[in-house]
Amino acid sequence: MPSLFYEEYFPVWIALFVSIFLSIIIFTLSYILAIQNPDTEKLSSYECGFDPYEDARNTFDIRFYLVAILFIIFDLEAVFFFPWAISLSHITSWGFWTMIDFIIELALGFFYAWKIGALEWE
Amino acid sequence: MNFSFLFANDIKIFFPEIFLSLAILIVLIYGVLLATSLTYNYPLISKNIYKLVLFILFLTSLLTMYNPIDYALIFQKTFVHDDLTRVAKLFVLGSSFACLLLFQSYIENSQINNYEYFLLILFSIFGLNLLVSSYDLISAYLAIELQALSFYVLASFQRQSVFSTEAGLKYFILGAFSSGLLLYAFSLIYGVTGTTNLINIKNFCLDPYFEGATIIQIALIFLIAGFLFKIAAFPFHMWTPDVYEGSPTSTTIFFAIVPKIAIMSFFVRLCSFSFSSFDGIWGEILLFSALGSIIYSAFVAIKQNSLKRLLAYSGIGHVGFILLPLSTNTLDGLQAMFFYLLVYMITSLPVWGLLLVCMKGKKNSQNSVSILGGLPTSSPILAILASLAFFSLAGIPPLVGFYSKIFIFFSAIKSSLYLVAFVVLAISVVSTYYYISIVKTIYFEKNKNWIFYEPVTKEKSIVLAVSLILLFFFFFNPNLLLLLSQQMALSVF
Repeated sequence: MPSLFYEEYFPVWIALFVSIFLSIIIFTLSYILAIQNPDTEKLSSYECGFDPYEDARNTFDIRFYLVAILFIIFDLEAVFFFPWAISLSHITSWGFWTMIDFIIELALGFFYAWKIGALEWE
Repeated sequence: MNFSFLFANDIKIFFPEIFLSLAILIVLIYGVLLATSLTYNYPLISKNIYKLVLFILFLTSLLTMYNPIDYALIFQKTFVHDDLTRVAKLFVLGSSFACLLLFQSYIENSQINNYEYFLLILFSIFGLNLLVSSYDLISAYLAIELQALSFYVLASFQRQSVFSTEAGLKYFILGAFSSGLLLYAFSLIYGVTGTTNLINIKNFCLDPYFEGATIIQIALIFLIAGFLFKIAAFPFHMWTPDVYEGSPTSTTIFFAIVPKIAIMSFFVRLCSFSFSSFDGIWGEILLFSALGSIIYSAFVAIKQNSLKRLLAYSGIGHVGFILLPLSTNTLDGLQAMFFYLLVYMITSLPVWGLLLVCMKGKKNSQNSVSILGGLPTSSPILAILASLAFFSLAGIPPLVGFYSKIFIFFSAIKSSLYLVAFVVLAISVVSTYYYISIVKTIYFEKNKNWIFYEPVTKEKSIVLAVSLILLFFFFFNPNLLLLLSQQMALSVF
């Protein structure tokens, strides 16, 4: 039935128009109202601190990889914290001590990474 | 509600693994505190950690052997403890103890000074133990990943060597890919049955009103592909020679001997226990893979000059022999398979140990078969050891390799696979050719220069001598191996 179709998709239509309208407003206002003093540094493209348009064959610093791996591990630990914190009343003391065991193992891994020098940036 | 009473017995039954994991954590912290301490002037602790690791393995095997419970399903049926797990864990621990004894002097010579090497070996043993006793798809996947991650780092441990880095990278890419295939199969199985436990899957598959048979067949194909990658069988064997040749020799020995029994145990549980009603599907695929492995390795290994690659190809052939009786899905077949696995582990010790005796220094270029040529003049006992070990691999009578091959043929004939038995018999003649050609190189090749070998240390000589004596002893009295393999086969069903 066509009226049900329009009823269901009407909010999507509204969202589309509001987003287009809002982005046009923000863009034009920032173009009109901002003070522009162009500078070579400000106009150049951004490449995470490296020189843009350079030869891509730099030595890959292993520090970036280490940071990424450590981030994944401890971020997943944080992901496990959230449901545990909410459901602690249901899993009572058994669940509490299981999670403490998990935290202790990851803390031992963190201690190892600290001592072995994986957290040094230089 | 107090839940701790539910798991009290489980912790008592699981005590060897708990001990192993606590020992790993304590050694990790102890090692890092010592190795980075300024007051002790940054000592090299790898030899001490090595002895500590040997002691930990010994204690864990004692705990495993004297576990008072015979059969238990623990942690809400995600892990099982029965005869198969006990024997498989004992063999994993025992063979890794023997491997560690074998390669102590190699580690000193090639200057692998990080104590984390032994810790990674312990991690992989822990993962293998968990894999053997896992009864659930999720716990099996976690155990496989733990073991595989440790192996990736072990393969690429020599950071200065391009070979080692290449081997680790290849192994990592292929191992991650095969774990992905396994995970896809597990997700399909979960989607169709709604459970990840092996007992529940078996009950679903045996139910006559089960609707998901075609999806399970597709999942089985991915499952077998993933597992065949892990044990290096025929269509998925390509990584094996490169990874074995590039890794440091101690890691290669560890790869070749220890993980196969654990991965095969879980694979057998999946195929013969959970999916036994689909044995037309996985039986044929495994038969094709087994035949392909045996034929392929027999012909390719003839042309190899490098000893490590030759042994890697012969390992592929042995995996073919191991898969062949599994495809019959009978009790005799499973017993023949476990017997062959146990004998393979005992025989691999002198064969791969030979690589350690004949390699001086760290260069891979001293890897060719012709370096064995100086053995009869410099050490005739080692020459006899080498030739007897290769004879056992070939299956020549007064050694136990003969029995293991005979049982495989018996189980194939009992399941009416006559043409398969005939073809395998003919092809094993071809594989005997390259084993005998190594013996010919040892005794009859004329060398221009003298070849000097490293002196054999006491631990290495004990391991090599004991395994050779066992090769003879089990021919005349195979009762122990027969009993163990019978126990392992019975506890699958």
